[in-house]
Amino acid sequence: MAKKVRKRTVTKRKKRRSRKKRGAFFGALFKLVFSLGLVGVLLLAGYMAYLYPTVTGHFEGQRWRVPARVYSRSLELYVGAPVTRQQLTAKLARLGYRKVDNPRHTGEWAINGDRLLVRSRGFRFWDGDEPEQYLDVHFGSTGVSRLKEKTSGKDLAIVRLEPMEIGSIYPSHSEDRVILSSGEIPKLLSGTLLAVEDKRFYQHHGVDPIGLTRAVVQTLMGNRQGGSTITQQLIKNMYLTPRRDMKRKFKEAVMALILDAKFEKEDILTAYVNEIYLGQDGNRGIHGFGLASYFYFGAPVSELDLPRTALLVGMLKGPSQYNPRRNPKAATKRRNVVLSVLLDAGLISESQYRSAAAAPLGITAAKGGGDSGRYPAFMDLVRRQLRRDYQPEDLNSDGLRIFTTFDPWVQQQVESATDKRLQGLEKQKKLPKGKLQSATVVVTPQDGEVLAISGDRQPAYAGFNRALDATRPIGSLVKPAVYLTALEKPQLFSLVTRLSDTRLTLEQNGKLWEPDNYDKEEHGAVALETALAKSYNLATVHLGLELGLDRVIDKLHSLGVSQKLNPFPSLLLGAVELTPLEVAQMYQSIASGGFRSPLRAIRDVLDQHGNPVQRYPLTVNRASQPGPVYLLTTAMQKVVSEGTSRYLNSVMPAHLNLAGKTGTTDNLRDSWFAGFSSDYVTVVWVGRDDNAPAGLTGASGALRVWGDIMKPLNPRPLELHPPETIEMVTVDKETGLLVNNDCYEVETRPFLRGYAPMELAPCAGGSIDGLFDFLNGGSKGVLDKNGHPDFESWDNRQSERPSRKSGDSLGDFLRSIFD
Amino acid sequence: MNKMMRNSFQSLLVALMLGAFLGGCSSYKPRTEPNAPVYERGSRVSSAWGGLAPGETAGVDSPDLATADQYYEPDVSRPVPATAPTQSPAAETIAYADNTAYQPRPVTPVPAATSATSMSAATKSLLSKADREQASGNLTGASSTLERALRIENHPLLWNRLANIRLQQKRYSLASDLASKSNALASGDYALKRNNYEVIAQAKEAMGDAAGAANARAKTGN
Repeated sequence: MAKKVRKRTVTKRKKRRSRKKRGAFFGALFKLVFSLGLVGVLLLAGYMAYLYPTVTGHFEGQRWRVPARVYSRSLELYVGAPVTRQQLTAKLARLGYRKVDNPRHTGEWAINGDRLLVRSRGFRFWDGDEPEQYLDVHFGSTGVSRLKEKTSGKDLAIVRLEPMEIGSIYPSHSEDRVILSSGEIPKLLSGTLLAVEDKRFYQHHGVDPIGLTRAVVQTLMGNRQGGSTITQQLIKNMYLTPRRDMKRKFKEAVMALILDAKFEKEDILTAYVNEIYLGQDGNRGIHGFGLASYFYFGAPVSELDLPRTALLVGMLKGPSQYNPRRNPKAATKRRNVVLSVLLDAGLISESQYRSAAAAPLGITAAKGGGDSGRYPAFMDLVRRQLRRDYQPEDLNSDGLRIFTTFDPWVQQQVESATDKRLQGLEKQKKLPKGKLQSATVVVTPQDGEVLAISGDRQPAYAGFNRALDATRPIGSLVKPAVYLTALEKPQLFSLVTRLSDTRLTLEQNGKLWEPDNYDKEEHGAVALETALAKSYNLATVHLGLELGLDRVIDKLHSLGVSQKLNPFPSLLLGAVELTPLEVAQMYQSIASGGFRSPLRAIRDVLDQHGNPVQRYPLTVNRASQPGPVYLLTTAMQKVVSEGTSRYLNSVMPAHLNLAGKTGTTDNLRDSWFAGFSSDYVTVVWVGRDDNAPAGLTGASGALRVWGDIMKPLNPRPLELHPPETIEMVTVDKETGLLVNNDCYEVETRPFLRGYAPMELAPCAGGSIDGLFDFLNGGSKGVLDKNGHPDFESWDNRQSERPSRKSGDSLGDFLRSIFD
Repeated sequence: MNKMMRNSFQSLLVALMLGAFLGGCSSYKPRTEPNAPVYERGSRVSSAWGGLAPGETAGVDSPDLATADQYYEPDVSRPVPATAPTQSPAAETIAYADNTAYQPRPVTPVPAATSATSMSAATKSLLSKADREQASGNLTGASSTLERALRIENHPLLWNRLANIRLQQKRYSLASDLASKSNALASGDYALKRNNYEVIAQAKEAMGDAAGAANARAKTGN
């Protein structure tokens, strides 16, 4: 028994010992595992500690480099605004407004005959907020005829729509985004996003084992599914390279845990919404839902309805694969998958699902949200103006809002006219195809705002910007400066003063220079205004030499030509190389009545929250006196009515009284036209990059393009206000001298008061000697120093007559006519 | 075992915190700002503030573009330059004035009622907005509103108002040219012209052009 007992005890002990042994084994094992685990945990901890600053520092310090956004001018609506219904509807379409039957939401509009109802969006401008309004706009034959607030029925004095975003300034190969704050993310968007990408977002700690398990199971069952949480996806996008391996997955999970522990869910979700990649536009990556909404739908994210929200969320899976512009079928399918997920989750009703799944994709044809590629020439000008005042990093990271003078409507006319006309010219003149090039600048006369620019006949081409960089000889475009210099000396020159259009030989640079007229003819004694209208070279050279080259150069400078000019006689015929933009400045000075306004492409700059930063104000510099500029402009109207630009009368109404000047250079290399109405100064250059003859004069080339651009713009007539220093006097057509009732061929022309001719014309009994006195000594007009308000700064000391180099031969010539 | 587990978790936490702390010491500088992404923070403009003289000096470079009217209204929050301006900040205010010693006398404005008869309702509403802004001392806002009105209508009263604002801002050369511009359009409006000549006279006086000032004053009828 005892044995037994003992035996038992032994067995028990044995058992106990073996149990003990086993226990020791497990203990050792546990110790080992635990030690290893501890080492692992410590390693993990170390790893986390190592990653911690990267994750939190980067996330906290996360400043998305938000490019500067560039906006066009905004459309102003008021009674009398020259805006057509077509223009407004086109504008609304470009701004991403939706046409509906009954506008109920911001960003919707409806049409009923000549009446438009628009739920406008609010916008913050430099000078304050433009509120959201329900507009009731009526159109008449000339533009807006009535403007009311629809709900109250109250008249509105003036309303402006938000400007169009025309580009953004970002470095090449860069991310672009429109930042949304947490409060700006629509519930519809965040709800859809979480339902599809991360159902347990608010429950998990950055990594979701349940979601992961489900994903693994689903993947094993053949339905490939991602198990990454929003947090992990954010980590992947913000910190990691797109490599897909276990090491990276692990790192991603660890970083997600840290991020989740450290930050609020809302902050993580907001960061995700702004960070995530949603498409590509050339070099520009479309990041975040804020920009993607503009990019695909042309509308802010706050206006997105269910199907469009579902489409954007669906695109997360593969922005390129489900690109709705390129793969509309795949995109629709994917959108509907998202919709069915929402339906299954009970977030939307069956009927909501059906109507959303049947809805069109709602994509705008034009890429919205600052498609910088669209207006490269103007954006180039904006960048140059900004470069003076900003560092590059301010522009591509601080989210500045830049308000420009750009007018998309005018630009559209420039673009649709140019290439078409050049093709026509190449065909008509049998020129090689595609060789002609062109550049155009359109500015406002009174304040020098640049409305439109094209630097290439293919406007989207972002290469050489001829409007800003191609310096070409301007030919006869220089002549208005010569004639203005003359008209500022009323004691010597009026519009009807006879000039000598005779050949002459000059020495220039040690070489002989023999200018000639385009028609190779001499025209004898011609009225000053006729010489300009018909662009006679010989008369202009005589006139310029008499005035003195230095005075002409001074005048060119005060009109806005900044480069140094050499006093060669050939300058008088345009041997001066300017860019179309510089020519636009010169003609702006004339078109504004002699007040140069430095051309501006930017009005003001706000920071990304709408606080004012900087303004580029309207400035004027007096370049000449109103009287002489008035006379010059009258002569430039003659260029169109009876001179080298008569062509315009066949395409545009004569009552527009357009003024302008053609320019042609040697061997027809450059074809220019610069002209203006009361609302547009437009300069067009046509020529070839290789400087080979283009085969076009100013009138047969650039003038045609000019007409094509200006006609659809429906310009306002050029109404000249005669300053009080101007008087109208009737003179003999033949001689420009005073007339009486015996004279029949007469015309009434403007003169500076007190400087009309005193001599009687031969028809009125005057002697032919009177004419010669006039020719040799100028007008005998009274020099009145104090009688006229605008003469205070006139240089009246210059009373002696400048030497006339070919006066004698001219006298002989005239005697031969009149004897 | 439970105790050991607890211990190990504690040591893990300590390690984590220690690591975090050490990591922070080594590379991460704590910020005083809230722990959220800072996309809502104000923008920084490290431009060379005051590096350019606005207005009349434009036109040296090619292409000839306007220079900036820097915004220095004390009551408006504006971004602080991140980098030190290349010139002393005083240059910005001096750049406005052609002659700081001169104090322009306020020119009694032409009542809108006498000169604005031909103005459209839209322009009139902007003019009264500008008048309100000017009265409240917001000269930058007033000039911005007047420029907007001028884009709609080239009216001499608008140019006159702009001239008066520039005179008040001591931008004399610009004020004088703006008044001349108004005169060129004012034809029969003698009250407006007198006002313009008053602006010109004061501007010329401030710029040291006594003869020009006398000449302009002679035309004010005073």
